[in-house]
Amino acid sequence: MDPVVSVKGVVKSYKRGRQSVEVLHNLDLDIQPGEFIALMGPSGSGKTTLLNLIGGLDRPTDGDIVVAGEHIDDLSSSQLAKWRSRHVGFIFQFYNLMPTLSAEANVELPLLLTRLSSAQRKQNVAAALELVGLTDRKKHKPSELSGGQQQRVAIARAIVSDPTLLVCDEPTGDLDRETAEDVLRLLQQLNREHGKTVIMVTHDPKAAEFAQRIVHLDKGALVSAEEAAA
Amino acid sequence: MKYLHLVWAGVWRRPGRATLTLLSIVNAFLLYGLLQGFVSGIGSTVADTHADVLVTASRISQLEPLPMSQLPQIRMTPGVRSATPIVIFHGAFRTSQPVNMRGFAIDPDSFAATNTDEVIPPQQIEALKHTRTGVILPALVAGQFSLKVGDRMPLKSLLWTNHDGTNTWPLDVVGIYKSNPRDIFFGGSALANFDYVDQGRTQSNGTSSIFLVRVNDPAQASQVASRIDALFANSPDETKTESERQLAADSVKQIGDIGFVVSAIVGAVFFALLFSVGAVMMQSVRERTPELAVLKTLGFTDTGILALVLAEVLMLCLVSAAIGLGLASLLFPLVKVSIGFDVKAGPVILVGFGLAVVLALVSGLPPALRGMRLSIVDALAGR
Repeated sequence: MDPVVSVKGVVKSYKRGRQSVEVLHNLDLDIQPGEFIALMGPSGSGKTTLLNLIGGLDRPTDGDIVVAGEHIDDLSSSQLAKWRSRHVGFIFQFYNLMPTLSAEANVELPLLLTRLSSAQRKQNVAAALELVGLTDRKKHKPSELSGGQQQRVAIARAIVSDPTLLVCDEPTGDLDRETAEDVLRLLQQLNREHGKTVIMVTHDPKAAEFAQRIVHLDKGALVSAEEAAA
Repeated sequence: MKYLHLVWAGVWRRPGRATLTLLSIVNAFLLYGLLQGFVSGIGSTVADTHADVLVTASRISQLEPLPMSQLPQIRMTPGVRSATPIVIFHGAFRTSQPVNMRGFAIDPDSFAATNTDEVIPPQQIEALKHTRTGVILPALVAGQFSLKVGDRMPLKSLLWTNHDGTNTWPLDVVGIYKSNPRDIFFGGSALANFDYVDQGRTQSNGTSSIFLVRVNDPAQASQVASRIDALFANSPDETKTESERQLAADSVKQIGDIGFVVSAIVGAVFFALLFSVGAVMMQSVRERTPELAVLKTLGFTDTGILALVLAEVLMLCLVSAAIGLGLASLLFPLVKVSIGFDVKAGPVILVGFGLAVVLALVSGLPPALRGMRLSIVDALAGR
């Protein structure tokens, strides 16, 4: 089976003043469709940089990244934006919801970029909110929701357009243990029951246990990969 | 339309700041509406004056009387259709607090021929002809003093003493006509009998303050004016003949270049507004950097973000302009009552909305460009 994500010889450098700092060194990684993978490593190891590259938020300095059959490093800025809207659902550590919009309006955001009618958008939003168990909270604004509920809204927003993969950057980093486990179980459910490919950056070994495969990075290079208990 | 709630939410992200900004823009558009309405009122009054009416006055001063012997010569001038004498008869109506009133003494017969657009109803001019002490009043004045046809009103002339040695002229109201501020002579003036005033006054008998001349062809008005003035060149009573429109424009110029003053004030207000709205929007975009980055993450393109921020400024400016111009429209009737000019609301409001769009685009472009150019990775990392 062809991998849904194929990273080949990727190098990423950043300019820091006059100096160029290489964050990822000649990195190779394949992720299969329907896989739940955890990227672990110490701070500065390049986890988030790799996640940003796979999610099409940033471009590699060198190497190839193919996601869902598309060489995303060749796409223009607007093509990449459209590609993200179709193929990637993002979940952040601090939820990053629009504070002035209700839960359902937040979830609807990715659908505004589609050609769906208002009624179809409402239907999809309702389905996504039901999946994360927040139907009764759809009219609430983020400030009226708990951290766990906000992250569930963020997950609903990430899945509402039925993307190819879910990209999660420390999704439980701001949650207590119990709420974090609820969120991780939800991600696991999306992976197992809905076939979503999930790529999750985490510091937390307990969180990583929910993944099928754990990939360790250190100083911009892959150091090991292991099958997780899940 | 599907983005409307997103734009609206962006505008009201900080309700206090949005309200203050909205009020400052409303204030600017209210000021613009009132001042520009005033200017448009003056402009339309000048533009609506008769192109085929000439005013012949003394070259020295409008208060210097012209001999009635000039009237037949003016009537004989090629291109002249009719001419009528007018004596200035401004006065004060005798109330506990005298109120000044514009007035003219007219010759009903020759005036009827000049009054082709029937500002004054012909039957009222006919009534004036048959009542030597008659006066026709504009409705505004009649209403102000609760006068009706058949009432007697004493008018204290500012210029003329009568044969009993006083300035008080008894007048009988014979007609009330609809006030028309667009007619600079007769739109809001009391009209008395020429013979009554000329024969009753102790000086300047057999003279006229001005002659009102109607020409056959408005396109030939300036040539006819030159011919009339040429008739009396080098005589003791030299004349200066101008079109009614030129006279109206000159009268307005005597107050000063109102258009320039108003434009300067409105320009200064909008220039200041440009910076304040721009600064507020820049601050708003800076605060929302992570939110805009998330929108980009979700698939909004760079130009989409540019359009979103511009739409927010546009909405703020258009809503504020609608409120400001709406308030100004409500006050336009008061402008008419207080200064007598009819405001042409349509063009003022249309230009106002145009200004709102320009204000939004110019002040919104820098923050919109900032939003468009932001890097997702840097913004999400808080850099």
